Amino acid sequence: MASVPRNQILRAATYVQKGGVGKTTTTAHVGVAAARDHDLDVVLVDLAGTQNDLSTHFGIGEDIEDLDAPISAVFGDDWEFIRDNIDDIVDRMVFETDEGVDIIPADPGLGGADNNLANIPVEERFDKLDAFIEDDLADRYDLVLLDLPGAENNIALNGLFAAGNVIAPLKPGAFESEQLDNLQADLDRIRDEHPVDPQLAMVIPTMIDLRTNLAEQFVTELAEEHPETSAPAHVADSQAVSNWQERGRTLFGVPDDELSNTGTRVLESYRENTSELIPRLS
Amino acid sequence: MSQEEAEKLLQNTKEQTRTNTEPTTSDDPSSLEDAIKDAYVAIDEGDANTNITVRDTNLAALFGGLEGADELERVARDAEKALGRDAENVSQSRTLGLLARIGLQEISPETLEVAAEARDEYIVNSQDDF
Repeated sequence: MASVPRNQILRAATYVQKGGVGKTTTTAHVGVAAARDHDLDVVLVDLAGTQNDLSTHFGIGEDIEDLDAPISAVFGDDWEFIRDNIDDIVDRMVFETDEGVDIIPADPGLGGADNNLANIPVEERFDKLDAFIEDDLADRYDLVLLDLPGAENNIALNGLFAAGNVIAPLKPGAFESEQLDNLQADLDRIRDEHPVDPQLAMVIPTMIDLRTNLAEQFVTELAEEHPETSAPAHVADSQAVSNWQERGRTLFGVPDDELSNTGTRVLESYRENTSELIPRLS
Repeated sequence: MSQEEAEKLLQNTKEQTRTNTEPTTSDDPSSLEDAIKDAYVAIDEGDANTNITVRDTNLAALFGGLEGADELERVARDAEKALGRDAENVSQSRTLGLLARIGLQEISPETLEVAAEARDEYIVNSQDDF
C-alpha cells in the first residue's frame, strides 16, 4: 500500500505529441490500479480537448453532458472570485465513477481558456492548474493524473507545470522509431522556452503485438537504451480495451470470466507499471 | 449577490470557445504605453520630431481662412474650454493640437489615459538619471 502524507498529492500527466497512442487508456488504467492496488484516493482530470474521452471510458459520458462547473473556469481571471463565492464549487466539478476513481471532465470552454491564457504575462500563465491542485485537490486526494492534449498549448503547459512527472505511452509503427528521442527533445525545448520543468517518469510501450518484429524490436530497444524510464511491462495490443471502453469500463471493471487472455495480460501490465510508477512520483 | 455573480461567471466560462475568444496582440494597453514612452525617449534624444504633419488641402484652407478672418482665437478658446485648459497664446499649431485631443477624447478616451500614464512614467524614470 502506498502512503501519501496528508495534504501532499502525487502528480503525473500523460503527455506525448501524438494521437492514438493510448494516453486516455493509460490515464484510466493507471488511475484505477492506483486506487485498487494501492488504496489511494485518485482523481483524473481530463484536459485532452473537448471530446470527453475519459468520461466515456468510465461510462459517465451522459452524466456530464451539461456541466455545472467546468474545469476551464480554473484558467480564467475570475477563478478566485468564483472559488471564494461558491462554497461547493469543487464538489460540483467532480464526478464519481464505479471503478474507485473520481473524474473532473473536460469541457467546451477549454479552447477559449487556452486562447485567453495567451493574454496573461508568461510568468503567471502556467501556474493556474498547479494552484488549483494545491489549493483544492491536495486535501481530498492522494494522486492526481492529468490527461493532457497532444499539442503544446497553454493548457498542456499548465498541466506539465502542475504535474512535473510525465507518463508517455508510445506504440511501435512506421514513423515511431525516433519518437522517444522526439519526446525528450520536446520536453527539453519546453524546459528551455517556458518556466516549466517536466520530467519523464515512465515510458510505456503500448499496443504491442510481439508476433511482429517491429514491436519486439521496439520493446527491446526501449528497455536497453532507456532502462531508467522504461516501464517494466509492455501493454499488449488487445481488442478488449476498445471493446470495453465502448461499454464504459476499464478492464478493471470487467468480471474475470468475461476478460480475454490478452485483456488479462493488459490488466496485469498496467498493475505492474503502476506499482513501479508510484514511488517515482514522490 | 456575489454568489449570483460568481455563478454567472462560471456559466460564461463553458461558453467561451477558441473561435469566440482571441488573444490580444500589440494593441493592448501595456504595449501602447511602452511605445509612447519609447517615443518620448526618441524625441528627447533628437531621434524623433516634435512636429506632427497633416497634409490636408481642405484643412489647410480652413485654418488659413480662420486666421485671415480673425476667427482662429474663437476656435482656440472654445477648444481650451472643452478641455478645461487655461487660455494661452493662439496659433494654428496649438489650436490643431487642442482639437486633436478633443477628437481623441471623443472617440478613444482610453488612449489618452494610456498616453498620460506613459508620460508620467517617462518623467519619473527620467528623474532617476544622474
